[in-house]
Amino acid sequence: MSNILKKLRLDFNPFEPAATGAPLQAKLSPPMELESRMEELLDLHQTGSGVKAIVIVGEYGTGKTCLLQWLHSEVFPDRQIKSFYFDNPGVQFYDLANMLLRTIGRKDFAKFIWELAGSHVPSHQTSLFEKGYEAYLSSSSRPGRQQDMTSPLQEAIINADVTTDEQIAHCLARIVTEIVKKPYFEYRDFIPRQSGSMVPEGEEARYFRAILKTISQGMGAKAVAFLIDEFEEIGLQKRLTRRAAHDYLATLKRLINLAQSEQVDFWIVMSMTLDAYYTTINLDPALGERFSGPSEQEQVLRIEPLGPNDALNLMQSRINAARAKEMGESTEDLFPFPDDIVFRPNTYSNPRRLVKTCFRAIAQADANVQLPFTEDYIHKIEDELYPDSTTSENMQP
Amino acid sequence: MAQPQHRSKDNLQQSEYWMRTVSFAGLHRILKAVADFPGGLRASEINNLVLENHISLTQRNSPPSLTTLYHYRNTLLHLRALKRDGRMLQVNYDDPDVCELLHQPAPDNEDQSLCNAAKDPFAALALKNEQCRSLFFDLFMPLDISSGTVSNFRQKGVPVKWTRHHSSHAGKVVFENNTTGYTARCVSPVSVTAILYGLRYWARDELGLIDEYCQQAGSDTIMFPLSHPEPFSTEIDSPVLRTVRLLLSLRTSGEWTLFSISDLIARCCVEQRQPISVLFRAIDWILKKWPNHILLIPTSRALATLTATSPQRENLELRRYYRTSNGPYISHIRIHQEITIKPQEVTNNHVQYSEKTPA
Repeated sequence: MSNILKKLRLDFNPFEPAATGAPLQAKLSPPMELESRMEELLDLHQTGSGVKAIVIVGEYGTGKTCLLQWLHSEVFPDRQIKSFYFDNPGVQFYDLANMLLRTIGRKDFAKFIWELAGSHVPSHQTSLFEKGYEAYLSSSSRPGRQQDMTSPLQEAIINADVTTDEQIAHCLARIVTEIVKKPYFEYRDFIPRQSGSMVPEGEEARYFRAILKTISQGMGAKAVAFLIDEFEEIGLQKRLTRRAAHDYLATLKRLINLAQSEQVDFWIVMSMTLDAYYTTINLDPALGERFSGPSEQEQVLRIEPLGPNDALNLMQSRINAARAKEMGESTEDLFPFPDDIVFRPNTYSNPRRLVKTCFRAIAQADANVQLPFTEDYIHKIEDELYPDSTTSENMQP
Repeated sequence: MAQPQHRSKDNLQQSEYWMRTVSFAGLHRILKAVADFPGGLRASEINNLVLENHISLTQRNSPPSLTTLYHYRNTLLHLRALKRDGRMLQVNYDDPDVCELLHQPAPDNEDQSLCNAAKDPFAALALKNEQCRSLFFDLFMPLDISSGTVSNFRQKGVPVKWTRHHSSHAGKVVFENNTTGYTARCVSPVSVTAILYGLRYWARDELGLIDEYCQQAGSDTIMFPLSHPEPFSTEIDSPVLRTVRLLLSLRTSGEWTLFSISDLIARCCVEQRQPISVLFRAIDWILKKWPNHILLIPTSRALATLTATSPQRENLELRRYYRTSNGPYISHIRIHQEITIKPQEVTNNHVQYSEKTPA
């Protein structure tokens, strides 16, 4: 431990310089009110049927990513919901399938299919499955055997009720039987009409539903959840064509339509900025209705600015995680920060600004720094971090 | 309630669509140059005068083509700033607005914009032209009021929205006045060029008669009359402070109030007939005086221009966002309840700001 950290009674700097997403060491702790509103929303959706689409709306730096990661790492696992976190899903529908399956990995996904299908294999083919997954794979890799092994697996997939569509069942069976030859997914696997594509043309949604069922049953989860962060940050710097813009919104709508399927318990939680939310529902009112459901309050969670007490709680939880406990220090105070809030309103109200300011206050502290930090010291840090607001003037429209 | 009327702008003769994207600073320079020749000049002599004296007409400052010179002459003739006497073109001293223009100094070649004092005389010439009125300016007027004068247009005009509809054959532009129910359509390319890129451009960018913005990406564009041209002064003037006061009066009782810039444009600009730039300067003012009590909330540029299919459309859709130099596009602002502006802070247009309160 460095001398200065020792002087600050900390084991490490508990704030991150970039202040994006969840902290590495401290416990994720959304503000209490936000946490309870989120839990209420989840309870509401979990007990009812219908579209499970929730939108988290807030300005940059208010903790949308953090909230999604909290859902991903703590809330959904407790509810036996298998969640997948996506940062900016891309324009096309198959971008999501690509990201999803590459997250799981082809080998694991193939094993889910194989295990699900194994108990539904036709009786005359059971010998193929009796010796285990690895033996099955080595059999399928023998020259000429692949085709022989795809058909019974395809039949078993249909029997396992993963899908009723023969073509989709065939595609899923190929994922298993071709795994030795190609143990990874490629982007083109998910583009219909490509040579060797896994996705039947025009059947993307049903294919995707089959994938979700496989994951859900294969992982023993009650439901599958997609957590989509920064939906507005389309991964293209150049201007979208009209078609691409349509695809972008259609992707979201089709995903939500999937959630309406009675056979798949599927959640979508998206985070976006205020402007993105209103732009999206304006561009596609039908999509807006899917978000808004019976009332906006039931589908949209707005993240409000932090109040002074919320800011103090956030700091307290971070500082507690880094407090040098072996030195017998109290965990009740904000030292090296003063106990009263001394940050400017636009700092303490925005978690990212607050965390970045706190990080720099600790990182820049030297042997001469006055402790606890003075208001002047904090304001100096704030001015260094955010000088623009005092000097800029608008660009004319 | 007024019955909706439908009129196709394409029933008119093609020759009536003479309006083009021209620089009024350039028109002013030509007018002043021709005024030096009391007997007038032939068209070719005006061309030579422009070329030999390097009178700037285009933003690129390149020598204008013959077509460009034709459109500038034609515009001055149609606006009756010049009149024809046989083959000679002379300054029309009979029109007091032309005389007023001649009293005003022409902008330098480097200056692309018309001075404020020359805007209203030129606007008056445009509003006196029957074709300009019937094709564009009358769209803004209540049924029983003529757009014939600048003050009428500025004080009585109402917002008009326009939308571009794309079909398999050609695009068309529909203008709609929600107050009167009046709609007008432009189908032919020449009518779109004259009205959308000619008259609308004059009114918005050259004469300060209107401003416009898109309420949402991909939605209608709202044009609204302005009570005065956009102020060029960078000093804080009273319209800006009036807008600051209005904005602050819209706050709720909470610690912070969230405003959408688009909503603020509707409230502080469309309703108050103020240029969007005045609202943005009001935000500048708050940022400068209360930097710690306002938070700018940026948006993704990609999403803001999601439906734009051309750079021009992108620029139009981005007008509803506030932006500081080199900063991101701001869709919302958060304003703290502690911000105040006192009545005595404005004295004869000289503004004395109170020091910011401690954080």
